[in-house]
Amino acid sequence: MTQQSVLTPELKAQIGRTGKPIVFDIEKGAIRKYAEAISDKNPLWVDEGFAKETRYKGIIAPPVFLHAASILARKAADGVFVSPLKNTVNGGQEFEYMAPVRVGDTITAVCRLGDLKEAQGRLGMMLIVTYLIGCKDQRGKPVANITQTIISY
Amino acid sequence: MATIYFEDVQEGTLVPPLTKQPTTRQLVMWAGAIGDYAEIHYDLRAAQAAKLSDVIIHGALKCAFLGQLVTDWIGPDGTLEKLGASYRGMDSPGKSITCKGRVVKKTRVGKKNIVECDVWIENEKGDTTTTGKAVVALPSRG
Repeated sequence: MTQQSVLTPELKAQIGRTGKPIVFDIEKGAIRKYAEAISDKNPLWVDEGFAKETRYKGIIAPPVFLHAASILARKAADGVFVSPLKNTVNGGQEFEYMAPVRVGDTITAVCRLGDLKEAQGRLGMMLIVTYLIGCKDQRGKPVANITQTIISY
Repeated sequence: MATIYFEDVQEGTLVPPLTKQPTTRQLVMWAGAIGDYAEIHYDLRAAQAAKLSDVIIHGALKCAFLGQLVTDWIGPDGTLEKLGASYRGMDSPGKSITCKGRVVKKTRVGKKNIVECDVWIENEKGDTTTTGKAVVALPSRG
């Protein structure tokens, strides 16, 4: 049985809107907690002495660490898209890295609604939401672009 | 971890696999570390109310595991340029999952030695639950 479309023109009109910027400080302790959570013993994330000897000259953020900033940026864009469907699950994400992110950096992140699509699947009618989160450092230099796909069902 | 050089890898080179055995406790640690407190990852009733049969591993945690697969391989002298993952199937804690990768392309882009890899996660049954791509820049032996 085909279910009714949930992708209204009003929802589609939100594409391109952005949320308020958020500020996210890169903290050594938060990186350590993150590394422990993923059980990654790479000294680059936790050993100051080791990290100082690398070309980074200090501890840097691991690859998916900025997901925390993208979560905050999406929260700050809450009003940009409100799903008519109850549940959400992470459909996928992509990180593009322009520069290393260092302990002590302050990242500003802005979330934009990139696309809205609908599909029917195992979980019923689904909305596929694409968010684009741009991250810059305290010098205004872009450090990462994150594409986040959320499935709403 | 040793430095790997652009000359050391070819199309078809396999990335050393990485096995993880996430527990619900690990999912709680991830929730706290990353700021994602969605109950479907640690509260069984909430997961079932969301039409899931069990609590599920955060997609982003799986992406983090794929990130470790790659950073363990390239060492501190390699640079991760891009990392992406699609969560096609769900995984739940209490089981082994294995991250794998394979070089699919080598190319020079400006001054960078670029290596593109397919990366993915297999569950205990050998099914691929997560697919992804990693792009790295490697040093040259000169």
